[in-house]
Amino acid sequence: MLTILYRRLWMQSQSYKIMLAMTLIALVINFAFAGMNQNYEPALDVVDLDGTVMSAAFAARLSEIDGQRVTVMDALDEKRVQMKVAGALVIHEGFSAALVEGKVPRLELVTLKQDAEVMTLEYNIERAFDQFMAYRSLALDFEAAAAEAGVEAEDAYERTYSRLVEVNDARETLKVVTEGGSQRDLNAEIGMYRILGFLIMFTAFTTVIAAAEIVEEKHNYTWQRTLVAPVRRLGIIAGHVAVAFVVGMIQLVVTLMAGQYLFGLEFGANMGGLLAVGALYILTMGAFGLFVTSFAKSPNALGGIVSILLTSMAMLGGCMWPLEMVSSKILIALSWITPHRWAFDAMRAIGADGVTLASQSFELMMLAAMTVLMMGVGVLRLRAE
Amino acid sequence: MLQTIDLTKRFGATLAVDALSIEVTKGDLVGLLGPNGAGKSTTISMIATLIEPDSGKILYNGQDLMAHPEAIRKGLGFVPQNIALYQDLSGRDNLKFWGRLYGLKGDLLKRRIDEVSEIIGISDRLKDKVKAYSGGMKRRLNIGAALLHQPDFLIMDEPTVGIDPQSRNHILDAVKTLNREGMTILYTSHYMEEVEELCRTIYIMDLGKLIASGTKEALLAAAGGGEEVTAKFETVSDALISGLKNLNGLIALAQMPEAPQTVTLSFGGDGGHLKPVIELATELGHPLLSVDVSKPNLESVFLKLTGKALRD
Amino acid sequence: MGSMMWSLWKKDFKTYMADRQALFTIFLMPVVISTILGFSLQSMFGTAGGVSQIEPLELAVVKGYEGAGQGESGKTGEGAGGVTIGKSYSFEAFMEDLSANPVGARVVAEMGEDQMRGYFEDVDPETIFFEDFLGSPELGETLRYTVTDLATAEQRLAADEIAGIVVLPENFIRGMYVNLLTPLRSEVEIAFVENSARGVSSKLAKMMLEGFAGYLDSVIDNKNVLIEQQIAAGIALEGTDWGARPDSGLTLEQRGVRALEPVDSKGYYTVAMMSMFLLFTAALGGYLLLEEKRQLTYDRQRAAGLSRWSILLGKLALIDAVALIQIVLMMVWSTLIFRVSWGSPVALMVITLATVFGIGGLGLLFMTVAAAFDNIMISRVFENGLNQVLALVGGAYIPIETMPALIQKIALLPINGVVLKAYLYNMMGYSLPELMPYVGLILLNGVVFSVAGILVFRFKEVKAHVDHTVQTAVDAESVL
Repeated sequence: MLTILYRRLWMQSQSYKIMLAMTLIALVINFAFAGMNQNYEPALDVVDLDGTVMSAAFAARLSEIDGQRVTVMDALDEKRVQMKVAGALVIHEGFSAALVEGKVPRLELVTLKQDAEVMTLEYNIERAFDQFMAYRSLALDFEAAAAEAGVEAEDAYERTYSRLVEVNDARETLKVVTEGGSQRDLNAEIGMYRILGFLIMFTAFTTVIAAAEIVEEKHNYTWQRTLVAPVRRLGIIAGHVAVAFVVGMIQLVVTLMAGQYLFGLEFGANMGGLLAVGALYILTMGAFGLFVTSFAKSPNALGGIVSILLTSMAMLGGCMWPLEMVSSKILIALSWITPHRWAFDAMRAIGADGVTLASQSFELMMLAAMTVLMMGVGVLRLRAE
Repeated sequence: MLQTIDLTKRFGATLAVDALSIEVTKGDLVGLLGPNGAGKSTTISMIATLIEPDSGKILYNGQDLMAHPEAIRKGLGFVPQNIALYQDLSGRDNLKFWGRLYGLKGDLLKRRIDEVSEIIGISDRLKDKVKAYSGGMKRRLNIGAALLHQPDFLIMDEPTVGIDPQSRNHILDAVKTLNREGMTILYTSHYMEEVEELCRTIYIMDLGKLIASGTKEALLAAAGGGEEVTAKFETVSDALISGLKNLNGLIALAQMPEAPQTVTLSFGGDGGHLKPVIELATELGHPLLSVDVSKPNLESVFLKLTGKALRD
Repeated sequence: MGSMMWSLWKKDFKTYMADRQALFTIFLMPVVISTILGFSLQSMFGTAGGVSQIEPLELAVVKGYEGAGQGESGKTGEGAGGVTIGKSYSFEAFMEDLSANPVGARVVAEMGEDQMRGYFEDVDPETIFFEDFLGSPELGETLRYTVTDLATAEQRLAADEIAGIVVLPENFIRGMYVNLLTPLRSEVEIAFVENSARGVSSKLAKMMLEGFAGYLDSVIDNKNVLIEQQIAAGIALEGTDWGARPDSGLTLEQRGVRALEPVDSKGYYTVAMMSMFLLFTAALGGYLLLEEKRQLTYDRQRAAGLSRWSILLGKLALIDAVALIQIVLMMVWSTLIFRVSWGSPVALMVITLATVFGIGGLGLLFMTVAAAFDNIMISRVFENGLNQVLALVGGAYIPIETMPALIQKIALLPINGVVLKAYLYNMMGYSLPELMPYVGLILLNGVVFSVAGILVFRFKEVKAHVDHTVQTAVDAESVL
């Protein structure tokens, strides 16, 4: 077994060149997704066609609200709506006049399409307008009350308005405090899902490719030659699976470490637990590589099958989108048979929620069972050959 | 040392090896001769414990290899018919790897690599990658990888297929040297000349069966010794064939289906059979286009036994 | 020459079509996977009416103020000053709380007990939370809740039946009255227990709760500012409306920047999977020439007088043919089964021809690199590494708009990303002139890949041939 390890990892430079290439690819993905830890806010153009103090105040109010990136413009640029921003809010002429008359002014949201991002914008705009109107109403009421009381209140409206903005932004009387779970916001949560998901997906590719080298050896007859040597059959198979394990682990460790310490990703404090789950997962994928190898007739056939199977498993296993967003019960059931799902659940719980390794015993058991099953079938088939 | 008893192997509907019984004694150089598809490689694969026979036994030093396949592996050197080397490793790295699999390491491995590369004649190219080698050099390295651990028993499965004459001669010389030094060798080929040159004991296979066995001399004698006349006539008739068959001393007459004007006549006893053939041809009015007289060889033995050439 | 090329292509095509596994991978799998994705990810796409298809989120609500029974005085059922903590928070208790504070006392003095009673009776914190918030029509389709005790809620959370638990604190009722009706502040912390197994749903629910809290907070702050201003200006408080201002009644008009056809999940994922599997078709190129070389049939063809370029062109034609079949198959399947509309036929044809050319170019590059380095592992890295990255960055797995900004910026770099955009925009109703920049990009990709592939082949292949010739000569010399 050690001889095979030595040959494949040390003597054959192509092995580590390929591992390097796959690890680099995984790191690039990590780096790209590190940006998702920053708060994502849809971009909104605010087109002020009214050009009054009041419309400017409303536009300013929109800019002050968390949850979107606002650019105030004089005219609507439809190209920007098509390419750069989620939408453009047009404050039509007559905005100020309508407010003075106590009517509802005309606001128009121009978008390219209707999706979740646009729904967020709609909500933010409607809330911002309600708030703006509330401030205005209160400031006006105060101005009226001051006038009625004969009290000289200089800049009554502006002072009250400013104070309202100041207090609203500063104080929280009614709070929502989170217990359990993580302190990440929704966007960071989705970002974390994606990072972990792609880490698991890419590690699988590297590991399975390494294990499936057996098909190449059969094609070159070096497999047969090895079988004639006084080496245990299981030792030969174990050697190849060990290579896959080492290669996969190196990629996993490098990607996790680089992600945590270079790109500022948060994988939690229990790196040991993460690596333990990762190690078991990689062993499972090594077993999968062996399993697939035992069915493949040629290196070409293997190439196609591996790609498709691993991509499908990554999709079904929740590597690309949270399984909780999948409505189909059949697909949820299918996710049970993918190692990706169990690795993802355990790594997410340990890395994101800070739970212990022991608490993930069910997930670990599923991975172990899959490893044993696939390794068993692979070994039996190879021996039968 | 090695004995197969009624060894049989079937692949689907094809009976690749049919109740084969052969014996290899220690220190012998045994040839397994036969055309393509005779079952030689399948036999070799079974002896090397790569595939399991459907029935029969293989005994190695008295041990049943079906029950104890590991009994042969340590002392077996196996040269497969295909080049079984890592193309992107150097010759030295290949030898290192295969040597390690047989338990060699350190200085011993280094020494054996040097020794073996001298034997096979590729010392000056060891550092180059195998994919840069010529076909002959690959074959030599293929053999070298089987010699590192100084096996007691060497199996060579058609080791000279598709290589240049220089490499072939080198290999044949190496085989003789190794056998002289005490190595037992089982050599398979469909090249009659090689087996004739190298082997003391010869087994001839065809269509999975053993059709003849013995020393070269015994096989030739059993085929009748004498001489062989190959005559090409302008035309051939039943009368001519009948006349030829009645010639004195004739043991066998063979006509190639694809070349019916060419007739091969095997005569026993001493020579001097050309004259009667020419006389008969002249008498019956069948001019000779060409004639060849030769001493019988394994090819003719095979021809006699099967009615076809080794290279058919 | 023409008939030779035709023979070559026929041979390559027959060989490829005889491989059942390849057929399965390249033709059947895109259909299967796009069908799966299209049905499973409908919730990620809005519909024409803007109605989300996300499954309603289940919450458990715990009334922490019910049965609490422990007041500040330590007496059961009574707090400081005789305040009863719990649902039954009386007006008298409210007035006592208010009067205990100077500002509150002033409010009572100025407003009068009757007015304060009127306010008190108008406001019901439970109605605000359960009916106005959780029971609102807007949230009705997104959130569902049951009121339960904490232990039951925790069990349901552990069993992954709910997205989270909302715990209204002990001082919820009192706090809400104080905050909404007086210038005083009573901090109210609503606890939300997340379901860590459902991070996204949980955080979505929490966002909605925070939205409610934020809105009420705003009402409280607005009221307090007004009172504060009035007191500072010496203006009487009586008669002032401190309540929440009614909704503005705004109806936000919406229009599309242009009249576009909506694309649902089935449409998106048909195109996305097609663009991804086209990459696999290109990767197939990595094996084609390499396999011929290994089988020595390449040498045989060369010996028969075929030029390298003819052989290469034959392979390229195969990749183009396979790509075309893939595209047509996906179009037919999605149109028949999902009623996907692919847009203008003319534009479709133009995009398809450009795509076939582009993918052929990429396949040519893969082919020549793998063959030049004579290494099947390069093909594997293309297929399993590079292709996956291209598929990801190009939007095959996840819509580009939901990806990080960096990836969105480079989404048009990989050819599959441009192909995806071109087909999608055609589906949405863009005109052919508007699509031409994308078509141009696809063609440019094709040209760049083709040129790179040809250069690799030219230099590596010729060099290999020269090296082989030299080596053969050296070997021959040593024999002689």
